[in-house]
Amino acid sequence: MEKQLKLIIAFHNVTEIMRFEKKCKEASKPGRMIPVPRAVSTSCGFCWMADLSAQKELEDFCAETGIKPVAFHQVEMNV
Amino acid sequence: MNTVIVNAIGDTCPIPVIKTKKALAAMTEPGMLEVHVDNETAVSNLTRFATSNSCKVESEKLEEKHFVLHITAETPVKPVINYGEIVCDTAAAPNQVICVTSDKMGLGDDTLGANLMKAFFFAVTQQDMLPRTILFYNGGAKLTVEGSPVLEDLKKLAEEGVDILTCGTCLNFYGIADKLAVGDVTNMYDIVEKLSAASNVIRP
Repeated sequence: MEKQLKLIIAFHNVTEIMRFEKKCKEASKPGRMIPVPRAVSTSCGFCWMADLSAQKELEDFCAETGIKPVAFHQVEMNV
Repeated sequence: MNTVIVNAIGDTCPIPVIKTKKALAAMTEPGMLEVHVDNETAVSNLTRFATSNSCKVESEKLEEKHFVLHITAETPVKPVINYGEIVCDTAAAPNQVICVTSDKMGLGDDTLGANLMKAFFFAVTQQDMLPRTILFYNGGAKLTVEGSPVLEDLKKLAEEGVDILTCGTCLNFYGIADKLAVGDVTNMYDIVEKLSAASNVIRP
């Protein structure tokens, strides 16, 4: 598989990311929920992955929904 | 034409093929790979891998436990490993089978279980060494049909040569036989054979 730099958005807990996924689906926002890559954290959890170009749109969507992200990362992933 | 050297001496099967695949995938223009390995099994596996990815390949034995293969890609390729073609001599042969018996991962909360299953298949796509076969039966059959939350990942795995097999009886039982969207239909004899021949079985 090819590697590509992806945007990874971390949230406080599983409930928050699952809520974010639901909102994103309802609003047709780009990206998907994935397990947190080892490059970001060795702990177990979910995060949101999207193309780098979607950062601004997703930052705005976080603000709109009131779901606060913990951090934004860029990680190389298999696509 | 650029030449990239891949040193796979000392690597256990199928790592030489995986390293070569990565090097081939990184080529953006026509080029050559010079792959060094230390056993004839690796030479055979790499020859099959190169040929099935439309590359020219020549090999020679330089000395005891030192072989070199010259793999030429006349155009950049998106290499695919057909794990059925990879033969390893060791007990750790990569005949890994994933056995999916439900559309949820684990027991407890169903919403969490569905999300865990999505995360599981995404994580499988991120592995260097992919399973040879993924079997879906009973509730697991719901994951290989249209609308499945893991369909995108399963299609990627199928493109990489992983056999995706779903129990036909189960598809019929759930009334979704006409919605199969990835892989093939299988039966209990195949399921038993695949599980019997597996070097290890993972059940998420």
